[in-house]
Amino acid sequence: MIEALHINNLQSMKAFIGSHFMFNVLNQIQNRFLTGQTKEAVQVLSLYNKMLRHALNTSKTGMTSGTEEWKFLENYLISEQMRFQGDMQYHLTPELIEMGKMPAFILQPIVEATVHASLAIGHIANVQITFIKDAGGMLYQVRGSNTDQNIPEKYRENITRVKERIRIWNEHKMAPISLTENGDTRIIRMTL
Amino acid sequence: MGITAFIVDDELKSREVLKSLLETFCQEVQVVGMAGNIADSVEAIRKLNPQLVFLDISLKEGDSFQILAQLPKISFEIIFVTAYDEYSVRALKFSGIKCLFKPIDIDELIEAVEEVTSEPGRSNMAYELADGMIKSKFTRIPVITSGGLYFADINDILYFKKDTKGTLIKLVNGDSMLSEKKVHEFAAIILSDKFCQAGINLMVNRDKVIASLTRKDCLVFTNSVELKARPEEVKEVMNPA
Repeated sequence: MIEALHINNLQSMKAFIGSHFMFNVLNQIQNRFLTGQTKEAVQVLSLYNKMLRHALNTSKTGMTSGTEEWKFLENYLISEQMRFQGDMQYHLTPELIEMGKMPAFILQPIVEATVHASLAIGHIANVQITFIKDAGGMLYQVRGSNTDQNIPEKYRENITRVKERIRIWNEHKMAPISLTENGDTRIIRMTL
Repeated sequence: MGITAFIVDDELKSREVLKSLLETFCQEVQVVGMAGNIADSVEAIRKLNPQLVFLDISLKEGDSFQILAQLPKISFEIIFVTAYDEYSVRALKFSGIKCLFKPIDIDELIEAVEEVTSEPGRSNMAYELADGMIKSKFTRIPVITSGGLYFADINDILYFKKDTKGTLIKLVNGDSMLSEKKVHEFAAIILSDKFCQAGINLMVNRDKVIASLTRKDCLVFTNSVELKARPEEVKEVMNPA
């Protein structure tokens, strides 16, 4: 594999595994055990297990299937919803997708940034992620509810990291990926 | 007599768990209030005047330094809590401020409470120092000298060198500052790869070194400042691994 792409894959995986989010998941497990919510604790542990495995499985090639990425995204959203309880809603449309390979760690960091931008304004965060397949390829639309459009600085780094990943990917692959931002809506187009 | 404490965390469960851990393992601590956002925290801390405040660094709407900035005086001890925030933790450690990681380790919690209550009196300056570093993304580093607190732009620094009293910091304009911190402590908060640590006693801004004038035992800087150094230190600066 091209070295720059391989290094970027590992950096993206490290950024996810070592993220604030993953330690918050561990914290959630502790919280639920200590408050006697054993069933919920086991549920969060199961989500953590699935997300960690997904991250490790993608580390070699940096690729995943669209189906797996969608499940991974749902696991991520469920765990954030469990953490923030009534403060967050999400809609994944459609519920399942059946797609071929795509690069990992492009969609989730964008969704994470959008979730936290939406949470930052103090109302109930509402995040909608829509997948559309057309003749041009695959289109993922991530829409948040932060009309102020300011992403907290820590999560702005997610967008920067994805842009860099896309840049490296586009330098080395024939099928380009693009990310466009319009207010609190971000669109990723993959012509794979 | 117990220690009154206040908990700030944007997750309800985390607030409840920390309260429960304190009640079980730190019985001298009495939690007098909890809040989940900046405005409520500022109001409650002002009203309740606790002796100890647990602050989750990262809040949904910003960070807990915003709470400290809105208080006229920090007259309480602070233990910061974070899930994972490498840069903030570096700044807090450098400033001598206590920090716990989530999920909270009970032994570390007990130790932190004992430490802050047995050695009270961390100054407002410590929080100003940590906040300044984080806000500038470590492009400005704090130096406490006998004259007070300064924030030095890392681009204005030639080198850090061990001194009998701590570390001598040489600036581009020819001035020097003396800090009680050690060279390796500065190395932990300098994120720029322009700086090269040569052994444990020297850290140099490589961008300011004139390679063509540098000799075997002397580094020469862009403003003609010369620094005597051991050959292995010079070698390490000129040819970093």
